[in-house]
Amino acid sequence: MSTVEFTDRVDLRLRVNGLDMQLHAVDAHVSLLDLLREHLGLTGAKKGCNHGECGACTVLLDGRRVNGCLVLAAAADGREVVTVEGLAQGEQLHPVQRAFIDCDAFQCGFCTSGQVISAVACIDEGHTTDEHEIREWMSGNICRCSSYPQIVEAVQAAAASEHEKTPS
Amino acid sequence: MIPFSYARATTLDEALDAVRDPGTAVLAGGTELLNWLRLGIAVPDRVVDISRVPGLDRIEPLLGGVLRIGALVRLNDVAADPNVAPHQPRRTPTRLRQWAWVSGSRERCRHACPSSRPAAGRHSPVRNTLPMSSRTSPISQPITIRRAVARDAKRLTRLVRGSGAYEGKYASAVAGYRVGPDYIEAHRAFVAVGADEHGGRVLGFYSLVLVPPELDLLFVADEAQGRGIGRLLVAHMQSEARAAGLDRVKVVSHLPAEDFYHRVGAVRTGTAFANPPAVPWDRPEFEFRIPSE
Repeated sequence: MSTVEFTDRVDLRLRVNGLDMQLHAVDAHVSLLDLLREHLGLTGAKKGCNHGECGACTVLLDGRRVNGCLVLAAAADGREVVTVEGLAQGEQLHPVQRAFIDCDAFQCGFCTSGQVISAVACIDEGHTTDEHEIREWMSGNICRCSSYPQIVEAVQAAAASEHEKTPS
Repeated sequence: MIPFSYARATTLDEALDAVRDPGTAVLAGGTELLNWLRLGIAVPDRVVDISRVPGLDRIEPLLGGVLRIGALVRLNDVAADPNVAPHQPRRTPTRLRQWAWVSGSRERCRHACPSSRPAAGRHSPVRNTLPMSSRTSPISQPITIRRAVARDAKRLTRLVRGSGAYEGKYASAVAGYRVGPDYIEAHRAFVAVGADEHGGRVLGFYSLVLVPPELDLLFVADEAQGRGIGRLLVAHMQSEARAAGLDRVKVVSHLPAEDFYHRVGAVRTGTAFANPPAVPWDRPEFEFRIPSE
């Protein structure tokens, strides 16, 4: 029977917002969220509850939504991470970011980066048929200010603009 | 989070070899384990990551209508599976279903408690009794629920009066309280005990009054909180109520237990006003709706 080697620290390769990174001797118990915020200085993903309940730390891991606080950085080795910082092209905002501004889809803004990332994936997944479906598939992101109607509106607006771009 | 060492298994053999060391926790999606590590529910020396072990992400129909669901199948994929979809109630938030994996849910079921927050009885509020002595399997002994008998009177009275939920300003409510043999025999009182019940140790109890229908008492011993016992007792009470033909059961909640009743599905219906001198404060009133089957 083969044996694996356990280590207290791990070397990681990650592609973060399109940049390949190598990280050396990261503590094995560090979460992906802490790695992004504390090691890489990417503070867009927020530490709201740190328990996987609020969604403020949502990032894309190989294109799928995850709560950064519930993923071990070590387990993300070799994968691709996209945070809210990686959405804009230079000064050009991502259509979802644009839609959030146009629809006034935030108040205090603390949940917004998670909402925006989540909305990007929600649209990619095609879960935007109607308000009910959007609410269901955005339900992992809590907004303390309760801007839900505007958030749904923003997701619908961004989804519609995506459709215009991609002829089917 | 308490430090641990980490390894990624690339084959099932490697994973199985690693978990022969009892201080090893298994990581798949991590949506359960990471919180356990944070809260001290699990304190492994080592974490073996099985998320890239091939072959564990399949749902396979076996003979006799049985499904084999691999440990790395995501809950959403289970829900969407044509063999499962017609029977699958949606209870887990979408986000967790997207990343939560079957392996973690199996762990969670063993706890008979769907969240890492401790359950609290009506008179036993949440206390952070999370570190649960054993390493990665906090509940080792099963819990049974049996009808309370007259002989339990002293134990139940002690449990009520000694409850940490009634310390300090709440003490007056239970000071002279007595769960007598007559009360036990007159109402549907049930106790939760460890399987061995050595020395008659009672972990918690409830009493259901039928007329008018009310969950009159629900206590979980301070040291037994956080193990899902309150939730087990509530489920038992609901089946007793159903068997008795009730369609709703009222609860007047102790203030610190309000959150518990929300979590176990009770519906807030109003407020029971202060009744000095015993209970000189208003209390939230709830109702369990008992669906007929």
